[in-house]
Amino acid sequence: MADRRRIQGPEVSVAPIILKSPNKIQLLDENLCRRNGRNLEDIRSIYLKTGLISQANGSAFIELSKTKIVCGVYGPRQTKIPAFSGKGNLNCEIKFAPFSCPKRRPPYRDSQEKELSQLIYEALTPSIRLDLLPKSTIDIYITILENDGTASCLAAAITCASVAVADAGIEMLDLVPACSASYINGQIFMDSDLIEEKRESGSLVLSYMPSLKEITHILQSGEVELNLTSQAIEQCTDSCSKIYSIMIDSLLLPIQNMK
Amino acid sequence: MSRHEPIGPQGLRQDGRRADQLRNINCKPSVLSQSDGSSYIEQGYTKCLAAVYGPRETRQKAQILHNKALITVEISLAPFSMSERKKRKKFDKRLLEIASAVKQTFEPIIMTNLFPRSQIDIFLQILQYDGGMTQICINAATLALIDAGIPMLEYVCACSAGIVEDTTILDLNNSEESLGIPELTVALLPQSQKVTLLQLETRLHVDKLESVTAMAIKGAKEVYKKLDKTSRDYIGDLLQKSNPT
Amino acid sequence: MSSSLISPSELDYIIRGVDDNLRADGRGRLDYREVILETGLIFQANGSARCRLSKGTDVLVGVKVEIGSIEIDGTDEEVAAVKAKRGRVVCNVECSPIASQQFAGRGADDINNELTQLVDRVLNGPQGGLNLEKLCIIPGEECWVVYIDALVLDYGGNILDLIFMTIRAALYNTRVPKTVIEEDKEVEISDDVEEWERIEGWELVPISITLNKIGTRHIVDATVLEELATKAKLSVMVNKNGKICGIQKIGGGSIEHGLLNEMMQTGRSIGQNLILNLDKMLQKEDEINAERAKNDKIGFFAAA
Repeated sequence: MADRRRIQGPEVSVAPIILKSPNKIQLLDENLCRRNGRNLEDIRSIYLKTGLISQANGSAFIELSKTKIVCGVYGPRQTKIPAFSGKGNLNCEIKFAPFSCPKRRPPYRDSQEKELSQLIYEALTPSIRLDLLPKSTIDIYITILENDGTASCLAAAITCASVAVADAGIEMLDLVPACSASYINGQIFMDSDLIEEKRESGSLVLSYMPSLKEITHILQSGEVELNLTSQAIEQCTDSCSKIYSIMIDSLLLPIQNMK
Repeated sequence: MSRHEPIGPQGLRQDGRRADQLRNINCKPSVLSQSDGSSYIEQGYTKCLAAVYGPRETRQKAQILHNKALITVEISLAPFSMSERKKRKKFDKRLLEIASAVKQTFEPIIMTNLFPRSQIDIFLQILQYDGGMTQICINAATLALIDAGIPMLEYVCACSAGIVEDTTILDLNNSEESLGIPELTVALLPQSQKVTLLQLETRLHVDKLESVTAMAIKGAKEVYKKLDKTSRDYIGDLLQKSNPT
Repeated sequence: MSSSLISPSELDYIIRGVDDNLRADGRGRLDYREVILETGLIFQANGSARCRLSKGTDVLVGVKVEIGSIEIDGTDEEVAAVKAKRGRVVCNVECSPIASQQFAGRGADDINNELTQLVDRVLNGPQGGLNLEKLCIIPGEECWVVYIDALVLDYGGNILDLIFMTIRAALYNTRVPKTVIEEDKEVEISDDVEEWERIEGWELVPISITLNKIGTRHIVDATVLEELATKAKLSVMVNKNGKICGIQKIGGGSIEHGLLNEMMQTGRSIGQNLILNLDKMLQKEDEINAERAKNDKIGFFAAA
């Protein structure tokens, strides 16, 4: 029941006028090429660099055209309030910079960021030898400087964090590359950007350890047939193997430069 | 909206009760699997679940009491429990206040000196709310504590009463509460006839206090009969199940 | 998250049991516990349901529909044009401290957030099933907002699956009042209690099947102890048509590629069967509710 004693806000609110753009955005041209000249199964080119935060034990920066993410790893260091556990703790925190999205993100952590942190934690734990680090904590801080599609951002963040952990010299079973895909009109668009993501009917994010052939995380939304899902998983694992070699190169580069 | 008269011409209230009539109480102990003791109680449309954990090791070392057990009470309100959907923060001031009242009610009754350096947790979950939060919380907690087998001096039974013009009425519901009728909540120890909680948040003429208190005590005694019967029946059932011969 | 611990011998017992296809409560690997369902228990909500898994997990869902304004998203015109014609769904999951001691104080914050985000993602996406366009009252201005609040009352493992089942039942039970738009664009809610509609598309709302990888095998509908022995969980969301409406791995641990495909197949077939059974139960619920109303036996444990 409305409170009649107090002055209410205006009863009628008017929606802002939205101008129609003259031409619709075409996702695919007649040669099945995407807006930026990629094929359906192509991922964007990746720039990956390690060791740019001098204070951190390990760090990495990843750039996929408009997506830019930086990650710092601190530790392993002593857990402040040690709980009874024979394993080390992994603490992941992801933060969208306030200017990273079309709408301003407030500087405090919101529920989506908390969830993404949880997803990244789940994707990375299988790869890190936490059993060798009892009573210690590894902190991973990820900042998204520019967001061009949330699913691809999550994938890039996992890739970036995994390289940063390796850069910190923490023992791992394998590197964890991750890749995203969008389902649009029954087709699979690999590594989609924001405009494609807004039109998707579903998405898939997969992280995969290529040498162990084990999937560390999978997240799919949208109504999809089972065989299309299987196909997308295949394509994502293939792309993950490609990203894997880039990750290795980025880790080797500083060592080669030292010689 | 016209002002509803709380008592109609035939002396019946809006929900059809007489002035001195309680709402229908239904209750059942031992309804949850994870807790040491639990209960469900509904009084009219107010419905409440209670769970008791403990006595167990105190979780925060700073809170340890070396001569007796620590009691904690937490009340949560389901988002759909009121007519308007409202997501309450877990640490809503009003709920904290009621939780503190419930805690103080039980502190002298539970024989806490038997369990030094330990903790007893009482959790209350309101599923649907139609007035009488404090009383239903106390009644639900009593039943859950009995189910958990925690030694108490005796039952604690709570009931509320109010007054409209010169008629005292028992067990106010939400629409009566929102009319601004003075409401007095009493928690009674039925055997020793002692009162452990007396709560009045609105203005009430001092001449009327005695009659309203008497009415609330009368209601609390009825609640006692119901709670006692329920727990005796339940224990009887258990006994029968454990030795069928 | 979970503070409970499991001893090595308990762990071994569970893993061997799973290997031999015989679990502690006598079930096989892919057997579900008995689902007990009740609808329409909360009078102040437009729809409600409560589901239990035999004597373990217990979830109560209340659905409220309220008139709200349509949110305008100005960044992308095409997307905004679609959104202007749609109602909204808001989800919230809460684990009550009465369910388990680990949810006391702030202990439930993380799991509440995780479950809320997961449920929200599934029900708000294109796979959610509900016909959101039907919930629009005046395009671009007013729409129905469906608030779905799930409350976990008792914790016996496998919360997520039960939350989805209960939400589906509560949406079936939800009555949206009819509205009349007056000349000055004022929306009036019909006073007639008999004038209501069911939310269109409730039958396409997906349910979740969580598969727990224990040792080298996987099981469904894990109990609390089995969840502690689980290396990795995979939740597969399935709808009535057998379409996959979401997949998510939960918890640490990884899954082999071959096993993943097998788990998805299992999840899908179990999910479809479960939906069929639930629909049968829901159809019976209408009769049972009418019977209960006659005997004045409405309430949580009065019926049980």
